[in-house]
Amino acid sequence: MARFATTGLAVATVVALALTGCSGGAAPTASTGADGTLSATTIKILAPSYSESSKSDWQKIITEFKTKQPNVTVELQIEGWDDFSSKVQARIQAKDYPDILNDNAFAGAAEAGLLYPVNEVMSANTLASIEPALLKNGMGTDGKQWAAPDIASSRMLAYNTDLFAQAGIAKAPTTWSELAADAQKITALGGDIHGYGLPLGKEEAQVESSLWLWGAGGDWVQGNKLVANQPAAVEAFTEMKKLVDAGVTQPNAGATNRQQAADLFNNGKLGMMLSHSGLLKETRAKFPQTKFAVAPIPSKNGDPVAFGVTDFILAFNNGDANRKEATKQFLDLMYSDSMYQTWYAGTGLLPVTTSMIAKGKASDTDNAAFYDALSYVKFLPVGDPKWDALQKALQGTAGTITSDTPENVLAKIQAQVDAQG
Amino acid sequence: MAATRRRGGIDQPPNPIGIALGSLVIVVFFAFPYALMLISSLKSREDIAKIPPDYLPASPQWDNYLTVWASNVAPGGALLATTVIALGATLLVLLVATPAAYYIARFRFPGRLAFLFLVLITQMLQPTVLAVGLYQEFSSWRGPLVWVALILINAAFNLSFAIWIMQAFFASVPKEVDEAALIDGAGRLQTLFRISLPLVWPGIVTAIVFVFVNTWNEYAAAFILVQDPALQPLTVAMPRFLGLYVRDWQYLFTTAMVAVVPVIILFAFIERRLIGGLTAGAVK
Amino acid sequence: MTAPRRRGRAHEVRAALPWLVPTLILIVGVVLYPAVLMGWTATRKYNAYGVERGPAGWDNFVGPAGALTFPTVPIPQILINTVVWVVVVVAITVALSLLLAQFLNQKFRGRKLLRLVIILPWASSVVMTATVFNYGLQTDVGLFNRLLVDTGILEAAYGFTKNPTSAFWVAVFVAIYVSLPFTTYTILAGLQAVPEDILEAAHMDGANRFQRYTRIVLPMLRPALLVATLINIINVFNSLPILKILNETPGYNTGHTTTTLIFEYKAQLGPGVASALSLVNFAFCLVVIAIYLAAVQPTKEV
Repeated sequence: MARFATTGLAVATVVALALTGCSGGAAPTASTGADGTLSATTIKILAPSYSESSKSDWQKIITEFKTKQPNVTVELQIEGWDDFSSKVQARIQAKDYPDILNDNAFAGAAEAGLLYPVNEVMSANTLASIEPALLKNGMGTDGKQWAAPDIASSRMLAYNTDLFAQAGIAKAPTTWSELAADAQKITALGGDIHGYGLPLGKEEAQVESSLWLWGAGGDWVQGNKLVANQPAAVEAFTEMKKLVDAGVTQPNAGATNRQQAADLFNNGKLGMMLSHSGLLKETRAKFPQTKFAVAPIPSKNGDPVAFGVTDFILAFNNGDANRKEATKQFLDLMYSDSMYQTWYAGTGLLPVTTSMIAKGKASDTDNAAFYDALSYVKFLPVGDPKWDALQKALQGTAGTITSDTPENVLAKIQAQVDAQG
Repeated sequence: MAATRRRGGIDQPPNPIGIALGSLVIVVFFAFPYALMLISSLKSREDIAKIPPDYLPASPQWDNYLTVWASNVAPGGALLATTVIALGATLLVLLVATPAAYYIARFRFPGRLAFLFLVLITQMLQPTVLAVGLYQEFSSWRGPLVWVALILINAAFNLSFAIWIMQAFFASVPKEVDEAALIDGAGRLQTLFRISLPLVWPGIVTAIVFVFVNTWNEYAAAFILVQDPALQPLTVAMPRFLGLYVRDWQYLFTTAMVAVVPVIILFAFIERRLIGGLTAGAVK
Repeated sequence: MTAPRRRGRAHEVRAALPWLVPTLILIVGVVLYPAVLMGWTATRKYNAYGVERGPAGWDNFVGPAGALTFPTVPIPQILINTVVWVVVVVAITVALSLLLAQFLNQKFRGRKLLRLVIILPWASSVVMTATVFNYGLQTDVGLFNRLLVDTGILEAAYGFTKNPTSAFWVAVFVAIYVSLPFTTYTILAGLQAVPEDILEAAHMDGANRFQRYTRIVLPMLRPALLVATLINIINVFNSLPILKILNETPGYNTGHTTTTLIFEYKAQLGPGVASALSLVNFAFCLVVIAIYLAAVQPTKEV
């Protein structure tokens, strides 16, 4: 082991030297070249790690960008998802704004006036290349386009076809009562198999509870307010609690994250769960013995529900025209077909540009259902600055329905949201 | 009475069965989580998320210990960062704390209690609690300079322990030893380095180990300050194995296993020095 | 020692300064300055994203979304938890460490190796130790759970980290676990300073093993023990990763201490409220320390 450590050290030294050499080259005094090259400046990118290749996916764009703008230094910072928001918070608080931020929220920064509207940092062509239905998700409540989506994903019901066959279920459930009955049958198979994976843990409680709310025909948005404690939500939470109480979900539903539910699913221990293309890509690659299919998400009355998420590119205003121009050129490059294709593919999620969506629909048969769902997906109200408070309250408190009444849980969530004005 | 005395006697060799049993309990108790770490580090990515889990990997993936270095996280660089920061902080603490500990152990002076109290307060304020303020102070220290920032931070937050423990040991050395040296014409500093230090070696070793290991394991400050992935120390780099969908637990544990080795080596080395220092102390 | 006493106070301070200045610089520059920044932060209003919104008065402490008054947070329970957490972890750690140190201080073959074994929880970072416990205690992929079921201790896998009460006690166990090496080592170093000849003399005078331990060894261990306990109290009080990693239950449940609550607040309510709670936390820590110091009166020795 010691020998490997030494090898690692040697590699690290080389990497460190290489990086030092390249960041040391930027002096703040150069002038603008006649051939369109920008004078020396530095732009900073902060992005989460979607997969193993995230760093190299970004690096590819940066390398290409450097051939066009050799004087611009690009500082890339990749962080794990788990603590990403606290990292963003720390940077914002220290007023050390990244020029480009890849995140899943933007309203807070937009409301505080920290951002450039994306039409100032992306050419009209680039903006036009993004699927309009998805682009709309980056619009603030003030009607301004504060963020541009960079990847999308939709949620569908993934179900284990072997378990369905064993339990004698012919087709995927479309209504809540069918779902409950099917979950019951699958659980009855025994052998530590659970009917439905309900991840109400901190990571994704807001997604799971929103899907059930929408399934009940409700919406968090009421007029121009976000309301947690509403009849449809009570109905949705009651339905989730019913599954828990019937013992047809995995144990500890209130503290399970989606990845843990996915582990069960991958091992053939779970009949159904709401899933997305990224997770199922892993199932297909690493757990080929688990056979599954996807279907629209069941609702109370049987109308399909689909949930869409986009992550966003945000451009912070650092009050520097040079950096702004470099940011713009970088983003235009990033969304160009040749660059964007490898970048989005590395995330395991779905693309947002119309050309790539068309291409994906034609070639990516694994994810055909997810591409189709993009046409009727509903989004969380991420453009509302108050959503942040509701989302955090849901993440922290929705899981307590395993031991409390739906009314109490929703009252608590509402109280937390109200307290934040 | 005589029988009791003999059984409890000082020079009596310890009961071998008791020793063996005690040792076994200690080994099991202290090694079991790391046994799990070792086992998991040898599993393939499929095995690591298997339900129910296997006690042992189907076929040990020794490869993990090779492939991990080329993984996206590149833990080699992180190992270097951690080593540099830990060594730097330890050295700085020794340089700064030794004279202070020596002086407060030897002299009463106005403000001595206030100083001791200030040191104690330092211990109560930890990087976890001061994260926000530390970032505001050090966020502009970029590139390799960030290691300097981390050395300063780790040194500052571990200083109090080093001072307290070392002054306790200095205080236990009879003043007459120092005074004899001073009368012989040695300066204060000379006395400190030639006479007192060798006598308080166990205390210094404790301080070294404490600072080194704490720095080796420090997370909060490194997490908020180091922006460049190539400069991140291990504690911050390792969670990056856990991506959104791909959670490379096996690599996480592989790296964790590797990271234990230098500390154990340091410890094995310093333990020997400790015994040596002790015999020197016993001779006086 | 006699000469300085006759000189003036100012002179004494001036003589002390060169020895203390490096320490003072480090403390003021790296600890006190950010602490002052934090005090300032506690009086400012922030949104959860970390953007400053003007003065906050006392709102971060007792406002509608204040540290002590945010709805649904079981503050009294969390204060009790904090005290239980510190007292239980430190008391058991010190008791076990005294035993371990005594055992390891005997001369027997392999004790050096054994001393290396007990250092494991320390050599592997707290973050990693807590992570491996979390992984082993998972209901599905966790080997510890499987072992407990296979040996018949548990009927079915139990979600130790998935409900606040069991998670809290698992965290207590792990906190003791990771505190043992340091404490044992400090006491072991202290034991080396106990002169063999005094023990020998006591032995000759007819003192039995227990008497020798309580009358001679423990008093001589006192300085090392006091420092070790004090450092443990402070470290355990401020410990974040163990509870954060091992309590997977979301939100403001009853498995928190004031320190972990700071980070819940930081994520949900932003740095202003988190800083406010940090200050309260610090005051609380001071009270705990003051009680400890009053009880043991270490200044008598120092």
